[in-house]
This record gives sequence, structure tokens and C-alpha cells, in this order.
Amino acid sequence: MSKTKYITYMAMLLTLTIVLSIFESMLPSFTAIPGVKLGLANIVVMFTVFFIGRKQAVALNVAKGVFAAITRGAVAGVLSLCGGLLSILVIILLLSIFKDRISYMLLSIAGAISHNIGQIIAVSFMLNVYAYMYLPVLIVSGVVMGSVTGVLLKTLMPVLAYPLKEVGK
Amino acid sequence: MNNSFFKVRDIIIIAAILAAAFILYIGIEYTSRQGYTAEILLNNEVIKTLDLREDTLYSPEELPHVVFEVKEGSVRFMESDCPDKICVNTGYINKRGQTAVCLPNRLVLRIRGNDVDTVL
Repeated sequence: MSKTKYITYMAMLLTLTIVLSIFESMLPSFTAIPGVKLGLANIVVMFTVFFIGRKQAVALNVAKGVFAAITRGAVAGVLSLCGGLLSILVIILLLSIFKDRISYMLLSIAGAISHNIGQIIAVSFMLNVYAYMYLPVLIVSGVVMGSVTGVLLKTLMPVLAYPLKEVGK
Repeated sequence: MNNSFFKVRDIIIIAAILAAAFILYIGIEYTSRQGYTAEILLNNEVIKTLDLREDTLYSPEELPHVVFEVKEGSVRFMESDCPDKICVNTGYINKRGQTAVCLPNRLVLRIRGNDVDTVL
């Protein structure tokens, strides 16, 4: 892939991440518990870690956090960054331990749960509260939302990977 | 990448995660006890302490649009001007260590953990 195409492709992935997180914040939250969200943007991040590279996936998450900080304030930025980074680190760790013996579905669920845990840690530090009481709920929601994003990832994989085939990576 | 999408083994792992969450939930429910004092924190500083044995309404001077309600031993965010209303949707809390948080207003409502027990 030429450098220009690579830059364009990465810009497209970043745009997708940002658009998905904006779209998600527009949806009404269907529970009272903060942190129970679909995590649509994680689809793109997971795709990136599977097919492009680990560094790029981390960069994508950092950029997403910065964008959240600019548009929704520092608090949202820190929350997005903590959740995103922990999630991607767990996925990378699981991938390096289990290599191809772990399924996409399980990685997606692990990513969603660690995203929630990262946010709990951030909230606990920022506000000096013990948000651990929410942990069981957020683990269950991580399993559910992780499954949903896992299925969506499988559906969207050919579409997202299309430009890669086109130029012959 | 040639990982499989889903393995039958995954069901067992997912079941184990859900079981762990359930055990954690039972553990937290079992160990948490009724509290009698609530603290309101603004920017990490306690600005008000509420006695949960007296039904009252309270609104911080700094944030007149936020109203707390104490009713029958529980306390909640009754009104708030924040956009997401997560604090209001949290509802009544009364167990030690429980919190309701309003991130946009930097407000925390929490039940104090280590009171001296007074039997009513």
C-alpha cells in the first residue's frame, strides 16, 4: 500500500471511529447506569488491531480520546482515553498470549468489559468515589455489548477490508 | 489473522464470566448495610452532610438547579440541569458506599461508610 493510500485509509478509519462515537452519543441511553453503552467505535478499533496493526489501533484510541476532550470536555476525554486504552491493551495482551486460538467474539467481549473497567477506574480517581459497586452490572453489560459489537464486526469486516484488497496490501 | 469467529468453548468462558459477576453482585449486596448519613461533594470537597432519618430537600448554593431529596431513609438527585440525567436516573440510594454521580456538575452524592451505628 502506498504511503498516500495508507494515510487516506487511516484517516477514513479515524473518521469512522469519531462518527460512530458521535452517533452513539445521540442514541438515548437505555439504562440508568453510566457506562452501559454499545461501544460502536470499538468495532473500528478492533478491526484495526486485527488487520492493520497494534500501534495504529492504540493511536486510533488516543485520537478518539483527544476528539472527545475537544468536543465534550476534559472529563469525557479522560473517560474515553482510559476505557479505550485499557480495552486495546487487554486485546493486544490476549492476542499475544493466545495468538489464533482465541475467537473474535471472546476478544470483543474482553475488550468491552475492560473498556468498562477502565472507565470505572477513571471515575473512581477523578471523583474519589468507590464505583466498584457498579462492577457486576458493567461486566454483564460488557458481555452483552461485546457480543453485539462482535457480530457487527464480523458483518462489517469485508466492507472495511475492501480497500486493503483493492490495492493489494 | 485467521482466528475463528466463535468457538463452542467460548460459551463456557462467557458463562464463567457471568457467574463471576453474579457472585460479585451477591457479595456486594450481602456485605453492604444501610447507611444513615449522606455526603454531597462538589469538586471532591464535602459541601453538605445530610441526615437520612429526616426527610428534607436540599439545593447547593453554587448549583441552585440541582435538588437532592431525602425520603424514608434514602436519598436521591431529584432534579438536575445536566444534559444526560444519569444522576437523576440512578434513583434512591441508602447503602453504605453507594454513590450517585453527576459528572457534568462535578457533584457526588454518597452514603458514608463508617458511621457509629445508632439503633432506632
